Formats: sequence, C-alpha cells, structure tokens
Amino acid sequence: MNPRHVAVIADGSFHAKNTLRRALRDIDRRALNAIVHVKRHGRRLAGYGMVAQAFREQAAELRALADAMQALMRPLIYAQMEIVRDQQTWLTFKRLCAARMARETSRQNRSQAQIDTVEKKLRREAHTHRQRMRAILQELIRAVARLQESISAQEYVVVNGRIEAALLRADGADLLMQVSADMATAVGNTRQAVEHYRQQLEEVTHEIDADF
Amino acid sequence: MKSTPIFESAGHRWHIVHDQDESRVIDANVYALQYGDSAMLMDPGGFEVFPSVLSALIDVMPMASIKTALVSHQDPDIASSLPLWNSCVPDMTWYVPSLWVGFIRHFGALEAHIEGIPEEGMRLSLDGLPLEIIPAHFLHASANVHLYDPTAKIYFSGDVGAALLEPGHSPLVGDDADGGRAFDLHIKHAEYFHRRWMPSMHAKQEWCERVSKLAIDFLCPQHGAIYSGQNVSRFINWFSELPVGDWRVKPET
Repeated sequence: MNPRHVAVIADGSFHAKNTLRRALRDIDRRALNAIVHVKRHGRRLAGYGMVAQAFREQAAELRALADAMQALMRPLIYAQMEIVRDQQTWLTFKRLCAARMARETSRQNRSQAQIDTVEKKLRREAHTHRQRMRAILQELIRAVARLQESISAQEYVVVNGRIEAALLRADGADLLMQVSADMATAVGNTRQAVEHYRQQLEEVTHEIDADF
Repeated sequence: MKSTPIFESAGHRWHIVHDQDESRVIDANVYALQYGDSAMLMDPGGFEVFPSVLSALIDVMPMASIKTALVSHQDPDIASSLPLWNSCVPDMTWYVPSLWVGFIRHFGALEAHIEGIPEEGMRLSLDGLPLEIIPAHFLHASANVHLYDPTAKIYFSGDVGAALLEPGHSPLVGDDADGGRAFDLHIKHAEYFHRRWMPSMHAKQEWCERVSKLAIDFLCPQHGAIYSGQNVSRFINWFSELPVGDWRVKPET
C-alpha cells in the first residue's frame, strides 16, 4: 500500500465526514427556518410551503445517504491498515529468508520448501485483504454516487424555491429569496465536498487497480 | 475499538481508544492528545491491533495531524506497531526512554525518527502546549516514563493503574463520588498486576510521593479504565500501601 493512498483515504474520509456533518446540519437548519417562516406568514407565502417541505424531506434523505456512506469509511481504513500490516510482515519474511539462505546453502532445498509454503500463505492472506479493501472501496464509491444523485435532487428543489420566491409579491418574500440563496450555497458546498472526495477515491482506485 | 473523548477545551482534546476487538492479545488503551493542528499518541499499541487503532483514531482526527508518539517503555503491546505507523506517517517523531532506543528499533523501521528521553524526564511542547515527561523507572520496566498535561490535568500513567477488565468495559473506573465503592470493585482487577509486575517498593514510593503533589483530574493507564476525580487520590493511596515485587503472589481467580 502506497503511503500516499493511505493518507488520501484516511484524511480525505475525515475531512469529507466533517464537511458533510456541518453542511447537512446547515441544510437542515435552513429548511426548518423556511418552514417556520412560511407558517408565520400564513396563506400569503403558502406557495413556498411545498418547497420548504421538499427542502426538509430532501435534507433527511441526504442525511440518511451520508450516514450509509460514512459507515463504510471505517471498514475501508481498517482494510487498508491490514494491507499495511501484510506488507510489513512480508518485508520481515523476506529479510528472514535472505538471512537463512545466506547461512544454509547446504540445506537449501529443505529450507526452500518451507519458505515456499509460508510465502504462499502470506500471498493468499495479502490477496484476500486487498480484495476486501477493493470491494469496500467500490461500495463506498457507489454510496458516494447515490449521495451525489440526492444532492442533484436537492439542487433542483433549491432552483424551484428560488423561482417560487421570486414570483411571490407578499411581505416576507425577500426573506425567502435569502433562504433559497443560502440553501443554494449550503447544497453547493456539500456537492463540492462530495465531488472532491469521490475524485480522491477514484484516483486511489485506479492506482490500486494498476498495482493488482 | 472505540474512540471516546476524555477532555475537550478549545482545540485541546484527549481521546482514549479502548476496548479492542482482538481478544488473542492483551487489551491495551491508546491515548491521543490533540492540540491545534497537532496530535500526539501515547503508547500507540501493538502490531496486531494497529488496523483497529488507526481506524478508530481516524474517526476523530486527521491522520496528517499525528506528529508525535510517546513510548513509555519497550513492551510489544505498546510499541510493536512502530514500523506500521512509520510506513503511514514517516515524519512522526518518537519519544522513547534513552535506555530503550536500541531495543525499540528491533521492532523495525530503522529509519524512524526516535528521540531518546533522558533518565530525569524532559519538558515537551505540542504546538505550544507544555507537557512534562515524568520518569517512572521500574514501574514496571527499568526505564519507564509517564506524561503529564498540566493544562488538562491529565496524567498518562503507562502500566501504573492498569487493570485487566472484561470486554465492553467503560472508559472510566466509575462514579468517583460514591464513597469509593466503584473504586473498590475495580481495584481488585488491578491488584495482582501491580504486585507481580512492579518490582521496586522504593521506586513505587518515590512515584507516589511525586505524583500526589500534582493536580490530576484523570489518571490514564495503558490497560483498563481511567481513574477520575477522587478515584485518582484513592488509587495513589492504595498503591502507596501495596506490597510489590513478590513473584510468589497468585493471580486473583
């Protein structure tokens, strides 16, 4: 496992998780504000009520999808660290082999058979761990893709909200314009963070696949 | 393994990573101190538990923030993960008692950046946070150190205070204001360990006198649960009275 991949996945996951947590809290809070604002103004802003409710529902879906994605981060890092451990074991094994071969030329054949058995076992374990990590990584990328679809849906709701707010002529419409604009910023930040994380994961996947 | 916060104040945090899933090796705690953009690990653990430790830590801090580790002594449950950490975070600085530096390198990673801690201990700064490495020789290893964070009033005590507990145990010993009942229940699990593994009455007494003068809210051992509040002084008093250094003592059943 390349140390750069370790850092990209570990730190990328940490930052994605924290950015998402803040952004989703922000989206949820703004959706709730919109609902409260519409209720306060009664029928005059009723047209925006549907939008505010859609904000809220979409925010809940985003949170559920983000939870599903985040649940894969820890197993991925665990699997990655198993590979790091395998590499260290392999290195130690190779050093032992080299030392033994240098000492025991007369019994080389017998030693070689033992070494081959251990080598096969280590290779098998390492292969299993790499497959596991690759499977989790792919599952995580699929979870990220689902989250991105949901973000696109939320962006669509945001655009509708901005149109709806622009069409309103009642008191409080300015505030709804502001709510919609703030929501657009929050959703945009989420989209950027998730896109960046996906790029990191895909880049690592390509490099790992090349190593396989 | 779980990562649980012990202390938090404006970017200054302590976490315990505890309750490991690997039952074939001895259960060991890892502590992480975060301050500003830097983090320091205390006794970062063994080779076998490394994947669990690192994945639990990444829940609470970026890997890039881990800059330093303290190794209290040479045991494998504390330091055999060194080559693995070194391959993931090659810039890490390792603080190790001077006496053990040449031994610790046997775990691998000859190129790791290891700083020897002098016999009398030393002061350290983590991104400007003052820390003290306090000698605790012969408790239990012949060269042994602890770490004191005077700002958080946290004392990392290595094997002192250690107890072997069942899986799923709490990170804390229990309610410190219950008249000592939780402490009494807990300390039964610590007695054999201290009597058998601590070889020197003199070293123990000196440590108790020194540490009883420090302001400590949390005494954090490398195995078992953390002593907090009044349980800290209960522990120091208990340890002060305990006869140690007798190999004929039998484990509790």
